[in-house]
Amino acid sequence: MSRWQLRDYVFAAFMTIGIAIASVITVPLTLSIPLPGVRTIVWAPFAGIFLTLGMARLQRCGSVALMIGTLAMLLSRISWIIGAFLVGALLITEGVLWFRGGYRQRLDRLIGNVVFFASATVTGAIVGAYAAGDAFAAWISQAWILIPMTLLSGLAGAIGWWMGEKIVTQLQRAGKLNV
Amino acid sequence: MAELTIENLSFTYAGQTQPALQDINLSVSSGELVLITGATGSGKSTLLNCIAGIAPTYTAGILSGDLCYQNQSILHWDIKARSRYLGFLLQNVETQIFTDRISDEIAFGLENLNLPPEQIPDLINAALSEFNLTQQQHWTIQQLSAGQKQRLVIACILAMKQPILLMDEPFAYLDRASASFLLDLLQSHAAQGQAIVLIEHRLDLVQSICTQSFCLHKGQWLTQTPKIQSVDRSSEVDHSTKPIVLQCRNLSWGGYPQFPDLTLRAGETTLLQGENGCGKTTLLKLISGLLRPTTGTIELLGKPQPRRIVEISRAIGFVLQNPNHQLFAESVLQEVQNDREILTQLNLEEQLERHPRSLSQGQKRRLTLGAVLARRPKVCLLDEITVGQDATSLNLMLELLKRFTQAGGAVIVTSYDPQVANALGAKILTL
Amino acid sequence: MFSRKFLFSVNPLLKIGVSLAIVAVALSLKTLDAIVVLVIVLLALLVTSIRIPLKSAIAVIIAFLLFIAFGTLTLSNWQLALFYALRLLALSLPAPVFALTTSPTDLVRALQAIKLPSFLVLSLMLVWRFLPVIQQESQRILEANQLRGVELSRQPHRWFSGLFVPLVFRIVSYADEVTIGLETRGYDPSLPRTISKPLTWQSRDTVFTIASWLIFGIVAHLEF
Repeated sequence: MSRWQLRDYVFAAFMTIGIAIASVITVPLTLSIPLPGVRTIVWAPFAGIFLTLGMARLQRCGSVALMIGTLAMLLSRISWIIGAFLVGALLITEGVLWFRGGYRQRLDRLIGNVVFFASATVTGAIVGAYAAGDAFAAWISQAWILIPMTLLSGLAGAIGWWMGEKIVTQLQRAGKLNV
Repeated sequence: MAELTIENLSFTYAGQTQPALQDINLSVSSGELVLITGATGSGKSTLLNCIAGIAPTYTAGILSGDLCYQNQSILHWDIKARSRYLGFLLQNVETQIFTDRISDEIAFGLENLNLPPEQIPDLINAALSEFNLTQQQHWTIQQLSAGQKQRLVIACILAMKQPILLMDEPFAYLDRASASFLLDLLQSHAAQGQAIVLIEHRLDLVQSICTQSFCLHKGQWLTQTPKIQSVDRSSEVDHSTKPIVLQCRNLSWGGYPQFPDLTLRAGETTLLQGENGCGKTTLLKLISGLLRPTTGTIELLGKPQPRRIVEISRAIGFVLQNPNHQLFAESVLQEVQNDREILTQLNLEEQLERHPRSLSQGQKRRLTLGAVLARRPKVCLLDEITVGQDATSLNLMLELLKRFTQAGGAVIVTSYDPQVANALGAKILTL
Repeated sequence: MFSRKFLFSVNPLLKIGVSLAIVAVALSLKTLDAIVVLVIVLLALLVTSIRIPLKSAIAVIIAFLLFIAFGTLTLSNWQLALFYALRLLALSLPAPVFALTTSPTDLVRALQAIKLPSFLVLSLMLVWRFLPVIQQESQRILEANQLRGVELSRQPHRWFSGLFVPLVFRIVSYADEVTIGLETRGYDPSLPRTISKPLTWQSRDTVFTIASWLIFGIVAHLEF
């Protein structure tokens, strides 16, 4: 397996910028809705485009860690809580995709997106519950809320993947994505 | 001894049969200032990329021939190794700035050279004073204009004191005053022994100071350079009887002094002239509705300018400076709403199936003009018509604009280049 | 107690360390008194170091009150609800206090100094530098849409072709160009670089450390 090069790091950083912009646009719209995962659901279709693109270009295990790890460091400046649940979700995603050896196939990337956004909802609920204390822990961890929200997050991630792959095709046609 | 020698250099892009560069020979000695000109797609940038090592590392292709620094072959060195001896100014200066303050930015390159920390402050101060940036040293990058950024990157590169400098259009965003400042500076650096190779379209500026000049044509050296065709003034028509399409009165915006009044009739062309930062682009944005004037009125086709940009856009088309913001379709033909005639006029008919994003910069610029005119506006605004354009490509654009005005359209262009006014037979409005 | 500039010039690593300590302490506290002291100190730091826009202050206060109301409703114990609300504040405040008093360049230098892998430092540096650039790019693309008669806020079906596709193309070509830009300026993540302004321990850092210990001491005393 070839070594990571400067261009890979730079590409990952620019995908992080895309994901960050997606969150800047979408998250404030839903800040006042106290449902676990609702922010992930609106964020995933747009962030998923960039996540898919980064996977398609970098391909190796650790691609998601590089993109989301940087995002976590960046968003930790707003709140440690965000940083913590992103790190949780990226560990789960990299763990699952490690068994598939990276993000080479479209299917790998679909799984990567679904797992990442679904687990972001779960880790977000856990970290959020831990930080907010008993009152919210009880509310957030109710299965009838958390399970559908997790499924929806995965679905939203799949939409992001689908749009991302469409753009990957266009980039390849224009000769702008040499893997 | 020659600092840089190029021997029989050829380069063919991956997937193409025609070489982009063919048997190029060049020798640059210390103290020389070499100018390379040529049409877009003639291979100028490819040549600089080959020298810097960007091709074939980042742009796939086959390179043959040899490249020497002080008679030592550097062909197998990577970009970073070459950057110890070669300073390279890229076309888009935004991509060579990495920190958020002027003095930190100069330090960045010196830190990469791993110089002893005690040397760095003196080198920074020297670079700041050479470029008159001492007072701005704590400014953030976001406070700088495009021209100031260009000046900063040049300062950063010169501070690294490499013996060879490669510059891709260093004058692109500079007004007359900053351009002559840079000309003096380049001359003095050459006099101190640096070897400088530059690509530039603004020949009027550079030709006076260069020691050698070469023109590339289809990847080979050529002896003559094409000129911008000027219009036969005798055929000019009197426009004063034509209807007024656009009228601006007492316009002002932000901190700019009030703009001069502007009246544009059907078939007329107006060139906005003025130094960097005098508000040429701002005036175009006011007319197109992207900005709302602080004072004054704009009348469009005899009625007050509509409030919504989308409504204004039915009558006014705007070709932005950077074509990459203005391409949306998946093929060249779609981009101009299947108007094959416009593509033929812009010499893009062979590209019609291609993805617009795969075109060269000059071709993209022509395509965005085509896309704007395909919407049949009454007025066409064009920001910095010469940027990224060689004479051939520029002539194609000027030709299409002339047809547009002959058919009753009106045009406002901005340019640093005084030749353009003549070529378009334009009225000049100085800001 | 602090001048407006004080917190800005404290060693960033020290600030990170203290912020983490505050989070750990806040999670382990059980009494209302202790958490009240901690939150008051944090608020005092926030108000004395940074100007807070009135709007965000009001938004935070409303959210705080709603949180207490919700807690009182579900736990039927307003004191416990107040405790959790304050604990959440104590957990959330250190990050913005730290972020708003540390310039990105200072943080990058600090991370370099502790030998964090250079690619992580590079990624952070690039994201800070180019996030506003890419935001401007998306603004230009939105404007270009209006100029061709497309109002994206009213036509969501055109977001994909009108905004995302051109934006992705811009980002991808920026990534390629920036790689080249970095290399032409001699950057190599695997080579040593000069640290021209090394981090130093200054007397204000000692003051900050002692003050932090004092406050933790008071909080601990109230807790037990």
